[in-house]
Amino acid sequence: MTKWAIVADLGRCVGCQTCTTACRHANATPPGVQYRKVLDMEVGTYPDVRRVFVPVGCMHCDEPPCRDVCPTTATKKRADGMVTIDYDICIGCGYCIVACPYQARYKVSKPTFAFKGEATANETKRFDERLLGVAQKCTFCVDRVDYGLANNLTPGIDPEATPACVNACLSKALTFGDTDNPDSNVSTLLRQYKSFRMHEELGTGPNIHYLWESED
Amino acid sequence: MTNEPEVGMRHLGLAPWLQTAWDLRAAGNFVGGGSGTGLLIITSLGAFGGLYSRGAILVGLVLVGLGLFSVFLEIGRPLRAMNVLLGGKRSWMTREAFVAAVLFPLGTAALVYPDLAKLIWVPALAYLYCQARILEASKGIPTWRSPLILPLILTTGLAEGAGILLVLAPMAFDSATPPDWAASALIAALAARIFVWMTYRRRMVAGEAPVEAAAVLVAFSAPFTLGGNIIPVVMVIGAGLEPSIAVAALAAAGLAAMAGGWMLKVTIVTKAAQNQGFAIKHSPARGAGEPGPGIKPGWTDSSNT
Repeated sequence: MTKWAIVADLGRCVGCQTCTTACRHANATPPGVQYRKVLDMEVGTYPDVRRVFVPVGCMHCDEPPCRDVCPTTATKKRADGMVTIDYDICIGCGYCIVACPYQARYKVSKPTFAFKGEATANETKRFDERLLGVAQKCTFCVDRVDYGLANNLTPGIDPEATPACVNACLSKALTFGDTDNPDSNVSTLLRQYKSFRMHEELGTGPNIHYLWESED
Repeated sequence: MTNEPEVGMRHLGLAPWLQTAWDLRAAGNFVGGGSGTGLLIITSLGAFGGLYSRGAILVGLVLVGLGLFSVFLEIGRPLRAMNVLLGGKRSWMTREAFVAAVLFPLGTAALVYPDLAKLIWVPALAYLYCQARILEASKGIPTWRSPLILPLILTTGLAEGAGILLVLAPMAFDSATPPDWAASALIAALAARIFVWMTYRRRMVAGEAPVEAAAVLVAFSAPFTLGGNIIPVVMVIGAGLEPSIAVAALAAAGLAAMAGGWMLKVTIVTKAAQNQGFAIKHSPARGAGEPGPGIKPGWTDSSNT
């Protein structure tokens, strides 16, 4: 089996938001919609204060609450772990938005663009009317992954088959791969470092793993 | 094409913030559905004691229908509304729609065939249960996912239903004074509701909800307890002590109990509905440094340990 996941090394992330920008370019998301964003956390009290940058987005959970509540079956979980939305079935009830404990889902009812009322060339090219009035979120760049698999490429290794945010990461903080393959890039990282997952106590089984310390 | 950012679509930081996906229109479904089914349950059970009121059944069905219409106004693609029937395997929203498909024909038939009134409580209770489970399944909103939301929605639905029955009594029954058991049903439902509410509120404040959501519940608690629960009980007692004011006092008690329940649901769905926010269990080691503690902004235990 395959289970796609992202490993985010919190020790490497510098909060540059390049992943955010790459994602917004790849998906032409409207203002206010960020499938991939990087939180800027300040932890501790003076004088022991530190800044932590935390990439977040859809966690493509093992037990996604968004899928469980969806009254239309628009939200599905693929065999490879990716949680997808069928924009042609979704009615935009917003139930999945309140079910997601990661605030990863959005609903936009009107076309909006980055610069006033005029779409940029990229926004025009990638505008998809189907996304209006329905739920939307990070897809793990499913189209790129599927394209890569169909062309004998390895997602997470070959850029053409890898999510845009991971490709763009300048500090190599983000890694994409198959956690079911013990020899994969992500499995190796998870063996070498201590990791945690966000809100794991809720039983969702999120598939973004955060590295925070070397096992050495 | 416009360029207006939608309210609530901004990056709102780290601590839990108020969800905006479900507004008053969604709350309207819980208000209408809860009150309507509560009234239908009470009326249906009353049928075993000889009570029959077309008016009460009709009002119950209308309230449930208005609730469904209210939530219909919220969805982004209303022309696809029937797709809501596809998710019965997992979704309580779909199951609510299935039950509605039984409740409305049966309720309508009971308007013509009084004997059927004795059956309405079954789909009405199922509908009310579905509504409670809809909220409980919303894992992203801590005040909704509490297991106590189940008894809270059930008891307030019954309290609202008993209250509306008392309000309707002068119009719905041959005698202007409602049957004695209706007032007793209201007292019992209010006692159950206030007990569940106190337990729910205590647990939310104790750390099961974000600080901001807990503060909303605390601020709401006194007016709800007094206006929606204690005052109706006092009015029912007053009606028993002074028969000359009984009709008005019971109607006022019912109205207060109903209004309290409506405000309770509006508050929980639209005001005490802060999401989970973000949290980390550990701060990373950087360079030669050491790892540090985690953080859970906006929660009582913000250290996330």
